[in-house]
Amino acid sequence: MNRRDFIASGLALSLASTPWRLCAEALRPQTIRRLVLGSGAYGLGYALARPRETLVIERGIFPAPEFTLSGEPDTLAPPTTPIGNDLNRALRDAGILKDTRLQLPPLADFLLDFFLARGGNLLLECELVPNTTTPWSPLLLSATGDLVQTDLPIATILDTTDLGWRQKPILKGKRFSALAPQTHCTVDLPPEATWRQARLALHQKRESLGLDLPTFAEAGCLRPLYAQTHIRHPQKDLPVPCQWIPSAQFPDLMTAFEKGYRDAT
Amino acid sequence: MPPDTRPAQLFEGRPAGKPWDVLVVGLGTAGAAALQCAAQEGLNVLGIERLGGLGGQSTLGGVSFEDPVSARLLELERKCERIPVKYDTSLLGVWRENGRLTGLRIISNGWIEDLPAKLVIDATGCAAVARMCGLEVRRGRAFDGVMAPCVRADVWVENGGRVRPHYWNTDCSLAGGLVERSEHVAALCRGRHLFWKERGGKAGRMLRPGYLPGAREESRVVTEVVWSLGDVLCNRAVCDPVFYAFTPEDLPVVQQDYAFESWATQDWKVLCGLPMFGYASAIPYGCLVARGVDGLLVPSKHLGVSHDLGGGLRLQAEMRKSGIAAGCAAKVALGLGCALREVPYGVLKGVLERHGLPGVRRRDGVGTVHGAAVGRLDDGGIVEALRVDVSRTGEWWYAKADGGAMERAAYAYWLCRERRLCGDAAGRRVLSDRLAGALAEGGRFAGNFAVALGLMEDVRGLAALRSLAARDGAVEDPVVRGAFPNRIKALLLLGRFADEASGRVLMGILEDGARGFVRGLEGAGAFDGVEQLRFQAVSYAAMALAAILRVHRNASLSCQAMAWQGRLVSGAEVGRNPPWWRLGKVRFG
Repeated sequence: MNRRDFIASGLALSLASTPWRLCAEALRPQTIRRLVLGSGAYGLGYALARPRETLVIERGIFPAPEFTLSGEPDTLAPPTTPIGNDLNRALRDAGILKDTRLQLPPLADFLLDFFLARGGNLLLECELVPNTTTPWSPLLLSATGDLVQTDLPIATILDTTDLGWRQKPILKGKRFSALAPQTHCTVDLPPEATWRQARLALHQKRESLGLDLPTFAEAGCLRPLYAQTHIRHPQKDLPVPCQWIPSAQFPDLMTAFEKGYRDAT
Repeated sequence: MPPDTRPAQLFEGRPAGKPWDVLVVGLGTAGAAALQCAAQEGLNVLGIERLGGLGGQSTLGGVSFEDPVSARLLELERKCERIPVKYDTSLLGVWRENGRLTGLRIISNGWIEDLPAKLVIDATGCAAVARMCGLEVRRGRAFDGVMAPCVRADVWVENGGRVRPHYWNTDCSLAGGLVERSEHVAALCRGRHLFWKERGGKAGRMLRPGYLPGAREESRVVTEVVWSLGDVLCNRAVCDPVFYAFTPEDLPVVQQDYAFESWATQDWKVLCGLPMFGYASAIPYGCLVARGVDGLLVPSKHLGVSHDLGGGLRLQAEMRKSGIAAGCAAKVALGLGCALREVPYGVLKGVLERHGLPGVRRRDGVGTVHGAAVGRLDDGGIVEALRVDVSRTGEWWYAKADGGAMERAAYAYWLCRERRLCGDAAGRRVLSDRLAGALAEGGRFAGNFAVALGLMEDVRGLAALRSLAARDGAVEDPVVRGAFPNRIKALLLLGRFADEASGRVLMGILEDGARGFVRGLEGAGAFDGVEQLRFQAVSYAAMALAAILRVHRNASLSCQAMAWQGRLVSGAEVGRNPPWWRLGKVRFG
């Protein structure tokens, strides 16, 4: 996008003129009560049920990486709620959903825009750090190493991350995928597999299938394969009630999103 | 949210356990190279990376023009296969004892761990370790701290089948704290989405999004030696080079407000117009050694160079060399048991040479990027090269230079500058006499010779520069298509001369908002519209007036200028393009 288009879109003005005010408004202590760890689709739906009360924090730069960056699945369940219909329609309007198939690479940017446009509060590139302040409020670490003690009076926490914050999940494996023209390439790995092992294994499979390297796009996340279903674990290391409900346990983005929304209302 | 209340990230003492020889934090281009080099040198090294792959911007960030991203990711992983790496791990704090780094505190998924180390290589690119140590860092340019703008690159398959990065440039950097940065990153992503909606199908298809916001510049560490573009462009001697670079000056300046950049940048971009050229730089060892604590090396884009030099050096080849150099320095320091700043260069050079460094100095000084022949110009050649309507040589450094008239003119200007800085007095006089003679002939190209004399700091061009600024018609000032106008260059040079006689003319330009000044230039298409042209003129006039008032006290002119400034800033919108509000930072005495 050239400078002219950026300005014409209004993004420049909105960015330059009100970012602090928007953030300050969104993060005013008297409104935020719920913290969501990780921007999993379940958590995004949960947050949009009560956007002014909820802050989502995400370690990366994209929302719902378990679906937007995992390379699969690229299908979407039909919506069953008004907000799900809204999402469905927006995906079609943007050209990202055709029939039931999603175009995965642009999905992440779309979802960020969708979430923020509906009043969602999201802090990117930050993660929660253990702290023992009294009364407790989140201590956040940014991607550049800045540590910030907030004063948000959080009453409940929802953890939607893949492995759970300070959890020791029981996995039956991990899955690493890639998009290639006309096909997917996927490897299933043992639960303790590292990024290195995943990448080397995936490329071994690519080589065996004779897939072209330039148009081979590995996923941006290692998808966990849980040994259990319906995971909902309390997190006992935090002094406020916290439930770990990993978004990646759901079969697709719509299912996760709508479940989060329904559970919050 | 309250003003940032920052919990401690610097711990005194040392973590328990057997220390690693080296911890490398940040495994982008520089960090991955440092990790490999240190391991090859037999050091016990651990890499720490926030994301899930090696290579940083050149892989997960999508900025790979030659190799497919997947290929590069795989290659790096295979090269580092035997080297332990902690992915998905963030830096949380540092340990220090008696002025020396002794380890790091890291966090992964909420679990905290302390790692003891003898030496740390900070390759985060944002000086994270250095800042946690409380070391001095600098941000952006001296005038107002503005940094190079950020970008997001995604990998696309174009309609013809070519796979390449596709950039989305912004006019802002990723400065600011946690919240502000998040807002900027979100704006980047939303902008990408808008592009997809409006033009995605025509451009091809997105293969993979870039997983990093592309911060071209973040904090820079103040190191034992800080090297600037000025040092490089006047060929200042380096007795302990760790690598050589021949780089284009790739510093996309925010909204082209070169008036606020360094003199060296202004010489390059504005007066000489050299985007089609590169320069040779030798980087001293001291640029890698953090000042204020021992045991910390800082390769990557936050190394100890100035804002204006960083633009050329932050490219992948140079970042890789900086990482290798850091790995080598770690080997020597640990082998000899000496402080990093005491590493003997003779020993370091031996280790560098095992890794192909410092390398060969490709050429002296300035030359065309793609090898097109411009040819050395003698004094007569310089004068003849300026008898053209000087226009731009091209916007981007990767476009081809064909050694044509524009490249020769830019090079001619450069040689004038070089003669001033590096030539002997007699040689300077000979050239400036010829330029003065050409100026005295008058005619269409007189302005060019006035600018050339200005580059040589020869006052014989001053009258012509005043005339250009005043637009009194005494010096011909043709409107040249695509050109950086001579009358605007004149404003810049009048400031360099601190020419008191120009004060009233400059004040007039400010009061008028340069509306009259740019009349006729609109058709040249040199800038992005009339408002940008006016901003150029006003910003140079303001900076020139400020320079004059620093040397020549003039209370009435100072008051007038400050009153103008107050009216301007109070009426301007923050963030409007161009950034008129930046003029609020100019100091008029």
